[in-house]
Amino acid sequence: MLKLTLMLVLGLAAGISGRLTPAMNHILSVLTKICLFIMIFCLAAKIGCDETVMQALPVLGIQSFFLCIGGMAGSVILMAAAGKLFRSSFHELLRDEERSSRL
Amino acid sequence: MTIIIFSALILGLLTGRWALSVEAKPILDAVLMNALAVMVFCAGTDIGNSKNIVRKFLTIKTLGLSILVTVITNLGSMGGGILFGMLCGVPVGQSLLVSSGMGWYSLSSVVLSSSVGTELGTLAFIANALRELLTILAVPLLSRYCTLPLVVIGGATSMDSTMPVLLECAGRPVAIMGFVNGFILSLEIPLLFSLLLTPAVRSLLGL
Repeated sequence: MLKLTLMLVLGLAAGISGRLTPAMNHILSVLTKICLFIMIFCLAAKIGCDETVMQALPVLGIQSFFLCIGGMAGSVILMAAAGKLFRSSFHELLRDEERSSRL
Repeated sequence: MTIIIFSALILGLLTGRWALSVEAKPILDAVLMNALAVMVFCAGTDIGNSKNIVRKFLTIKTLGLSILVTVITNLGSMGGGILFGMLCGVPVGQSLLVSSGMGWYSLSSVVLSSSVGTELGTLAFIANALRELLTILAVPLLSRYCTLPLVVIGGATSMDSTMPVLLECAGRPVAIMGFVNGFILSLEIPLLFSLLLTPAVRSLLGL
C-alpha cells in the first residue's frame, strides 16, 4: 500500500507541475485503459484458476449485490438527512456553482 | 470502457479456468500490483491536472461542506454495507473492507485479493463494479424525486464514469459536487485501505 500511496503522490506532483503536454495526457489515458485491461484479466484469471472461488461465485454474487445496495442506500439516506440539516449551506453552494458555471 | 471490462473479464476467466493452475497466483498478484501502481499514478496526474476545480473548492466553507459530503459517503457506505452484509451472512470485517472500496473496484479488488484472499477480492470486485452500474441505472430514475443525495450515490465513480449521467440528469452543480466528492475519495481510499489492513486493525476485524 505504501507503493500505491507513493505512486499517487508522484502522479499528483506530475499533474500539478503542469509539465504534462496534451500528448502525454493522451498516452497516460491509453496507459490507464491498458492497465485496467491487464488488471481485470489477471483478477479474472485468479478467480478462474481457483476451484473453491469458482464454486462460491453464485453465493458471492448475491452477497456482493446486497453489499452494493447497502452502501448506496446508506450514503443516500445519510446525505438526504444532512441536506435537511444544512439546507441553507448546500442550497447556497449549489446556487453559487450554478451561477459560476453559467459565467 | 464497458467492452474493455467485459472482454478482459471473460478472457481472464477462460484463461484461468483452462490454461492456468493455482501456482500461477503469485505471478498474477505481482502483475496486478504493478498494473495498479501505474493506474494510480495516472489517476494522480488526472487529479493534479484539474487545478481549476481544486481552486474553486478551496474556500473554507466549500471545503468544509465537501469534506462533510465525503464523511457522509464513508459512513453511509460502510454502515449500509455492514448492515446489509449482516443480512446475507458476510462477517462484519469483510463487509467493512468491501464497502470501503466505495465504487473503486479496480483498487479494492486488487488490494483485498492480494492482502486477504481471492474470495474477498472477488466480492469487492463484483460489489464495487455493481455500484458503478447501478448508479448509471438509478440516477435517471431518482433524479425525478431528489438531487442532493445523488452526489454520494456513485462514491468514487462520480469523479469519472458516472459523472456524465449526473451532469445529464441532476445538473451541473450536483455533477461538480459529485466530482469533488469522487476526487477527495480517490485520495482517501488508498489511505483508508492502508489503515484497515494494518495488523492491529486486521486483528480487530477478525481477518
